[in-house]
Amino acid sequence: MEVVLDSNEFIFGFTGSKKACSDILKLIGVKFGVILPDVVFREVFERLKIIEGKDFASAVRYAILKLDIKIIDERLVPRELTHKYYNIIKKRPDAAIAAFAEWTNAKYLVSENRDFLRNLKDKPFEVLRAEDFIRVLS
Amino acid sequence: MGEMVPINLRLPRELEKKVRSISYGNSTSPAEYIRSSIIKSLLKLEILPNIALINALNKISKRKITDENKEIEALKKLRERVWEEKYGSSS
Repeated sequence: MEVVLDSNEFIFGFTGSKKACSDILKLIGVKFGVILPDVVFREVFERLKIIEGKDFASAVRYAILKLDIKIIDERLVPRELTHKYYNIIKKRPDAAIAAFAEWTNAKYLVSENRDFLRNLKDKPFEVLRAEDFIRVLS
Repeated sequence: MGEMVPINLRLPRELEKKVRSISYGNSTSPAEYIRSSIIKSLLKLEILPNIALINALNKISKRKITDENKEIEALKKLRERVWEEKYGSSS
């Protein structure tokens, strides 16, 4: 089972700010695999540089690669698919991430972002918050 | 995901009944319930390297985020910036 994790999951998970997010990171490769669009990978690194410093951000970058998370450039997603989601979400980066989830046949997109949760019902993938995703896994 | 490891398990009758009752109550099969339980126990033992890695990073993190909504708003703004840096403002 492949899953897309939004940047907030990594930020909360790696800083230990939210237990459900840390638990998800611990289960990568055990219960599911993660595919990540390049833009989310960059966001995680940039945000952690700001809030934790460059060394911590580099350590997380190493951890993401060590967890065998597949990072794919979202430019590979067909334009028509991104347009389809842009018509719903009206924000290019969010539309690209949603299109990426569909294109990679991800079963879930996990995010604490309520905009995603609200706008992406009845899609080929399910959008869940961390706690709900942990419940699905148990 | 790793390789498949088949396991044959004979449970005492009372335990088997209990497992069946819990698993069907959770809308899952007894085999999947046992598989999940084994994974949870292994995770508790922290024998998976992922767990040590995540726990270590959690310990050295100097900033616990207490305002989730504020962080999500900050990430939304960062997303726009990272997108613009990669694709330019015309995309």
